[in-house]
Amino acid sequence: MAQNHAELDRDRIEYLDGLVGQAGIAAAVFTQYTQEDVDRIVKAIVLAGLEQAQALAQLAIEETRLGLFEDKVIKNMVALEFVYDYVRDKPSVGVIREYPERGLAEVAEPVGVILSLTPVTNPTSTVLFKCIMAIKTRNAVVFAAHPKAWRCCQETVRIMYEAAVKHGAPEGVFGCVEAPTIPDNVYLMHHPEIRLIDATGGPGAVKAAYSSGKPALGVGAGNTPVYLEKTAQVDMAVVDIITSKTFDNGTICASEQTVVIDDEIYDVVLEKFAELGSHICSEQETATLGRVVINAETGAMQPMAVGQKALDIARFCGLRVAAETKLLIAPIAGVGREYPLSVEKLFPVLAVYRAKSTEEALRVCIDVNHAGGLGHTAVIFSRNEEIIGQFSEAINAGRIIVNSPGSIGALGGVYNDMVPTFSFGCGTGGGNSTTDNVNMYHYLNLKRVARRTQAHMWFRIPNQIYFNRNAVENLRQFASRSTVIVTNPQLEQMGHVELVRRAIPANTPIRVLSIPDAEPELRVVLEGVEALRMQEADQIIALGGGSVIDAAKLMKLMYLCPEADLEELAAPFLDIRKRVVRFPAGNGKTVRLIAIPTTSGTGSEVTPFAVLIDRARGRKVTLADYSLSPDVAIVDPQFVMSMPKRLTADTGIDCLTHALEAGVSIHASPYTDTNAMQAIRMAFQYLPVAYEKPMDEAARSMMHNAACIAAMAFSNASVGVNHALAHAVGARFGISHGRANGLMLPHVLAYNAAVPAKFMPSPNQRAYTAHKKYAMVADLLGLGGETIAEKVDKLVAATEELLERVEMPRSIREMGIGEEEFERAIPELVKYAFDDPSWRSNPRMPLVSELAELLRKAYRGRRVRETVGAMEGARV
Amino acid sequence: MTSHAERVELDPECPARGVREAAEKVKGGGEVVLEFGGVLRMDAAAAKALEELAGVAEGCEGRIVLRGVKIGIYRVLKQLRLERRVTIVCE
Repeated sequence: MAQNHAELDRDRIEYLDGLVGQAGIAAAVFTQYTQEDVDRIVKAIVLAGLEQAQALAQLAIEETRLGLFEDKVIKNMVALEFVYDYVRDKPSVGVIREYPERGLAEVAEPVGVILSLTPVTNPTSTVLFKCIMAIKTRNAVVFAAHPKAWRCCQETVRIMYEAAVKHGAPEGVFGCVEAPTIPDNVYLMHHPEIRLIDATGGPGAVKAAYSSGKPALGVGAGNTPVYLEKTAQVDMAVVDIITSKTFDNGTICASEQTVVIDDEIYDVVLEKFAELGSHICSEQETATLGRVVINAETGAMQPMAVGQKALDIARFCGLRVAAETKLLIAPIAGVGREYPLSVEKLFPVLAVYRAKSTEEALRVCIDVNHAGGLGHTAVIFSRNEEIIGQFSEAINAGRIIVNSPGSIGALGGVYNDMVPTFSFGCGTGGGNSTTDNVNMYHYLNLKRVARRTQAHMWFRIPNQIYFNRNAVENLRQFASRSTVIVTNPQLEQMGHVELVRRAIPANTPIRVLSIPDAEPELRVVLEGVEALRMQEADQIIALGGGSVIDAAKLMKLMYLCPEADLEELAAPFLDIRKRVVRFPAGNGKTVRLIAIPTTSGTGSEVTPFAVLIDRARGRKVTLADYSLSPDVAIVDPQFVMSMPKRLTADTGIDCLTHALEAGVSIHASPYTDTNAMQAIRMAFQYLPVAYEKPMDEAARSMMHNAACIAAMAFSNASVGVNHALAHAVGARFGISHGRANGLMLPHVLAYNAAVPAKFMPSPNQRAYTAHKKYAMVADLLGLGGETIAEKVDKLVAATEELLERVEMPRSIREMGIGEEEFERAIPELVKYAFDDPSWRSNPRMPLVSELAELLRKAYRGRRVRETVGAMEGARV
Repeated sequence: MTSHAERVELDPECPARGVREAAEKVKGGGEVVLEFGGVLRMDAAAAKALEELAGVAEGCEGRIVLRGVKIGIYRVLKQLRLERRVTIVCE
């Protein structure tokens, strides 16, 4: 029972509760029905309705005294035949739509018991329409008809109900309130068993429905503007307007209300209206009409005029019109209270307005639209697509009917392919939740079944990679009209630039651009771009470490796309496929970028990353896009033979960290694993040799290759929390990148190998595998161990031994940083690390507290095997 | 379930009849087991009868046990909030 209502007696409440109770049982039972069941019942009720279409029209006319019998029959037929045609082949039970390529399906769920309010203007047709929708969607309905139309509605419901139950529908599926009152409606609207209110009625009923707190479908009042534009087919337009406006004596709320006519055709149009049985009112007649049919106080139409014939209205007003008059045309000079006929008129009186220009016509149509018709319907007759477009933009209407009648056009399915309906959603303009033609889908709860999808992945590397001693000779094959070599002064002094020059085809104009040996800042990039422009370069050779190669990547970007905003392009992202900022495609010009690394660590020669220093803000920004990847990489060990020991160690550990992090990344794939594992094996084997015997060319070559191979892995799988922490520590305390990585590495290995406090969301991962991957690495390195835990321990220990062998500092403390200073810096370090995108591919999602603890461990630098415990949690 | 429970096998074609019969049996405050195993679909009459039966049982501290309830029927019971007024036994 709903909340008690003072205006209803106990018997009435029991009666209403009984109707809803029966409907509730029917709705519950209906959930068991199949598609075949409902389709059989729908067809049966449609046939029963067709048989009674004329009788019901007659009943409606007799009871309401509105409209025309012939048109009411047509409305009933449309409500049955056209709506049936729309729903007949549409699934409404179980899976109703599937998108296999997206792993999505929609499953229909009935809404339950619907309270349906129906109008006086279209009583039987609206009931027929709603009965079909309800059966199709396995819902029960309690109808509360307009008090002046309840008998014809009750008879319609009876016919539908009997046919439905006869063909298997649950008893109680339709009910109809006898002699309904407003208190009845209010009571029902608040009834707990009513799940949805579908209010097709006046603004008061719709507002009450929306105010009830229940989900509601409502329609709004209309005031349809029509723009009869000068390119329109006048004969067709006039016939269509008369057909529509006189249909059922103008009771359809989508019918035309004010026709705005271009000056050029105004007289012709009015002549045509007159010729086809319309009476063109004089100024005085228009004033009289306005006074009689519109309430001067409220500005609303007088009920006595609604649905009446033009002749009868003329008679009320004392107008002398021809006996065959079907429509009264009232010229008006504006819209608003001074022009009473500019509002909605559900009877055959049509206002017309002469517009001097398209602009004026559109403005007046907007005014009409806003004078009580927002969200409803608008009509345009025109052959000018541009003006049709302007009209569609300017008018707020759920239905914009083009070159066809408003009322019958808006119903859908007759003059156009809109969904057939007897309920027009008017959107927020009309205080409704939808602008749709209300249809069966509004009677369904759609359940989305979303299957797990696996995002497509990739493995992208430069087209060409040349390696081993004298690989630089491969430069000979690249013809160039003009080449710029980007490098740094030291490499020039060391003779490396000369080696490159000699390998470039003879007669190629070459300019050497020497930049500072530091991470590039914007000024350096822009100077480089200027050099490229002056040189009209079509080839850039980047010879140097990561900083030089990064600078060259950015120079190429800015050279090809001068409008590129590096600051914006550095915007953070979670998924490169869905990033907010897109890198520019360029202007069709192509420039070849050849990268020749002179260190064995960053792998910048194959990566899509470039770091830029933002001096103004005192920060580094990383740009990432595969368009930044060099076109050619030349991995020639002769350029690294003279690397100092410390740089060898730092870059070598950077390479190892790349490979270890890519190996356990949530973006790891068999393609990246192959590279990561090989790089790890090579780094463990050859880094100590390259460090201890710098002139061992084989070891140098293997480490040079290892750095490139590790970069191929992390270019596609990315890195992890180790890099995020290393970036923070490196930036704060000026520690080189490789060294900072080494300080964190054993701790992060142990951390990732433990049961995560928080897993990283990743559709491509089917299980937590970081510990197993580490065990696989241990096996690859032949470290021994029986269990996964033992193997992880052995890998951590081997990593620590390697760090010690290449004389890396083993704690941040050793770097001369005081404990108090470090503790004070931790919040800032954690924030920096958490802002760093690197950790987003880490297998374990780091908590802020965990980042802090990892930093403390790195500071203390105790051996990991002594510290594994509380923070890491249990072994996987 | 006690050994004194009365058992009613519902007719799949007309489950309402068996449910109405059960009302007589539960009046003394005992337990009635309704066998739903053969019932594929609950019609409105059966749903109404079960609502009434639940009312009777509540009035005399009787107990209604439903066995073999298919998932579609369970949804109907749930929607009518009947599942809380009876005991549903899973097989």
